[in-house]
Amino acid sequence: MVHSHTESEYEMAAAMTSDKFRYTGVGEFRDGKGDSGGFTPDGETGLAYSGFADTVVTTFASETTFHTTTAVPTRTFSYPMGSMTYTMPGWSSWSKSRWATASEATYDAQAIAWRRYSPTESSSGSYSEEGEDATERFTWLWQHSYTGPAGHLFEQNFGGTTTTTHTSATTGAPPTDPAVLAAMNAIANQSVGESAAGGHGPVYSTTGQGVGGSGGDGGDGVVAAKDLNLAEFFAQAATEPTWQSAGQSASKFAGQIAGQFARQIVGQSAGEGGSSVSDEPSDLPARHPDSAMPESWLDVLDALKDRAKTAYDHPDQLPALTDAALAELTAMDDPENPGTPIVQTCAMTEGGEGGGTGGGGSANYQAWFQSDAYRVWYVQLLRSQTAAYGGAGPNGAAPAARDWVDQVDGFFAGWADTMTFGVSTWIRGRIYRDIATRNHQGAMFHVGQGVGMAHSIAIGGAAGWSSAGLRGPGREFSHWFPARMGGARSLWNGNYVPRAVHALSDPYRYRFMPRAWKASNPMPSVVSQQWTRIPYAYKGVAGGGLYGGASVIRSSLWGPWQP
Amino acid sequence: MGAMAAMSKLFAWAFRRRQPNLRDYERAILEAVEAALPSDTGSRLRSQREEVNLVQRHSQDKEVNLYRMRGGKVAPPVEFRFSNDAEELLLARVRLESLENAAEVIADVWLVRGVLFSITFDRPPKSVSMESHRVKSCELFTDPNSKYVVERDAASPAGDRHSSRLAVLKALGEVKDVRAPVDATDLELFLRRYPQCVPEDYVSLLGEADGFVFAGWRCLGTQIRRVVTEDRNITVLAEHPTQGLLCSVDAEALKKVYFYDFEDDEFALVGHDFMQALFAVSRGESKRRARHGVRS
Repeated sequence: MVHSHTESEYEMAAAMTSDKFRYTGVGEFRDGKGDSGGFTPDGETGLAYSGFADTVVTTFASETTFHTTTAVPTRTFSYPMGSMTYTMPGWSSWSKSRWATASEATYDAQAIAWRRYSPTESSSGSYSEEGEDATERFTWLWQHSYTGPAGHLFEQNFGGTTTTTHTSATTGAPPTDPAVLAAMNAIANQSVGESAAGGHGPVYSTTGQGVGGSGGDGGDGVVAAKDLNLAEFFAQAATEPTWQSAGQSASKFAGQIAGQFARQIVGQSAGEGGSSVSDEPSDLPARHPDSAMPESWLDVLDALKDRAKTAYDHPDQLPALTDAALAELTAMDDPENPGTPIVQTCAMTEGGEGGGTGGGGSANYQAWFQSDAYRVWYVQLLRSQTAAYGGAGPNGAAPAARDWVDQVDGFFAGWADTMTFGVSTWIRGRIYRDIATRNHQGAMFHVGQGVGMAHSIAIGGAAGWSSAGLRGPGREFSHWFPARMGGARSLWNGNYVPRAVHALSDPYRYRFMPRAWKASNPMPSVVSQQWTRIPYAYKGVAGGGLYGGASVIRSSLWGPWQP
Repeated sequence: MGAMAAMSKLFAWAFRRRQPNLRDYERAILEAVEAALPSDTGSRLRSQREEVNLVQRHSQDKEVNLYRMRGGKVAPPVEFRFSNDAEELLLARVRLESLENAAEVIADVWLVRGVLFSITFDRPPKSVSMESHRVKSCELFTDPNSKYVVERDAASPAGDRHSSRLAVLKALGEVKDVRAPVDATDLELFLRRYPQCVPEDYVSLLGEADGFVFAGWRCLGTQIRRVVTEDRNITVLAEHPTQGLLCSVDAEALKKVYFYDFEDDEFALVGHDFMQALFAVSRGESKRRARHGVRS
């Protein structure tokens, strides 16, 4: 099946390609020549994966011609809705990216677009508004299918800074990269959403046939995409290079949970609980606001959204919010088995459903949910959700308020950076990541550093003053400038010190010490004497100034310590 | 070269403790004492002198302290130590005359725990040309090899019996750590060592107790401490752990007793005899007098 773009889509594409998309790769975007190219985030850090083929002819806004190779390997994937086999004539790739599109005001950088290049299928594309009006976020949802000869390139762009390329060795070799596998699972999640949304034509098939969308108007797709956030973020966590080992587990359980979502949805709407979504894709109902999802699940999602907003307004509450969200997510009930957490059900049923995922069951589940990676993933999820409110949506903080908060946060971050020699900055980055690190620069951060340095000096002086002490048993006042030269008995001009210290720093006091004591304690050098006599208050001020100055210089020269 | 030499000298002054060598007149004094001692004892003293590798001078060179240092720490030559290991022992007094102007300098040689430690002068040697000199006399006060025995540590068995002054003190406050009085021989030796250094009533008090503690003030008895400063020679008679010292000053025809505040380096006259001064400081008058400018 071939999807023909509508006029409005053409118009939209024309507008968007003019200056909103950065388009890399060989060929052009709209004229149908050359490779499909890779899309990279427009001014944003993110992930972008794109496929290349030698002979593909495709455009965004025109019908796509596909070439089918003779080699058609079969690959079985475990999708959330169950295992699924599909063919890969030639090659397959997928992509995921974050970008800002047509309008900064309406296209949030955090919107996630999934583009799938799957074989033997028609191209389909849609441009759909995602989520509720309140968020004003848009997701670019479209799928392209390509066929191509062996030797295609598979390119991975990481945030525009790292590019690795792979050349497939054999035509149609299934991807082996764990990140790719994880992403394929995530694609399956998306297909659920697309189908649930009424879709724009076929999105996937185990047989090479389109599963068939009903040609809906796209409005439902908004809901679908929104509901898919969990799975998307599971997959995102799985594809994080630094979480590679845990990522596979992440994607696996992400798929399972998402699959359970799908089963519940299908089962409740079509009376075929547990059947594959690919069998009855068109029966999938819209899930929100009239979602077939259990009410408790919707509540959890709503709570997650609320927490995201709260976390944005109050970043300091992020750890507590994360804990709460983790607990709720973990406690989500399996509707088929009331009283049993859905994640446990997924783990227990994994071995029988996922031909390609292998077993592991409860042990894996336990290991995953007890691992730091799970928590890190969830923090990342909340952070992403939270950042979504940074666009001044109706439910988010107003830009002015956000700026004000950032200014204050930057000030105290700078202050703490100086006071802790950068440790607090490292910890902030470690815990809150972008939400915190975006404030580790700018004028207010430097003002905070300056105030921190002043406080460092003041604290050093106070500490010195305090340690200069008071008269007490065995302690004498040791002048810096002697009384015979007009020096006052003040902590600005000396310290209360033990008698021996006084004698060893003041020749006049030394004279009166017992001869036997002198025999064991020769007078130190003049430099040592003077150093000892300097009032501790001054030493403290100097020490505090050196500390604060060194901290600021370190930060200026080498920047904040990276987590 | 001149600048370099000056810099080197400045560096040495700032960072080094002091010079390692004795001056000629200091060596002459010690050699005179060595010669006056029995040969084996003198030889041991010479061995101690030859071990000295750090000499520190204070109070315009009136006080010269001798150290043997090993690894940056004080390491007295115990292998040459004398038997008399008193904490502070005046060994000898040497009179040195300048051949240029016939001026005389009196030097006391001190042992600490049986080891040569210090030479003190009654005036700054720099004030008298000592480039050419001769030893006029050398008086030995003790045999450094005689075993030092503290025989008067026991409390006086009958303090009230002896002592009108002690009785007065006891009437005014607690008197502790009373040591037995000095006998006639020791008193004679004390007066020979320290003629006209202490007030008369202090000498009399030695006949009643060789030291005691009153109101926190420790009367040193015969264990007085001689201190030389730039402009005067002082005899410390009593000391308080936090307040200061009671002392007399040499070369005063009429003995006075001063309170010395070692925090502010100030002297204040507190009495014309020791008892009067002790009463005053025990009542806290020393600080008041010092504050009101009653200075020496």
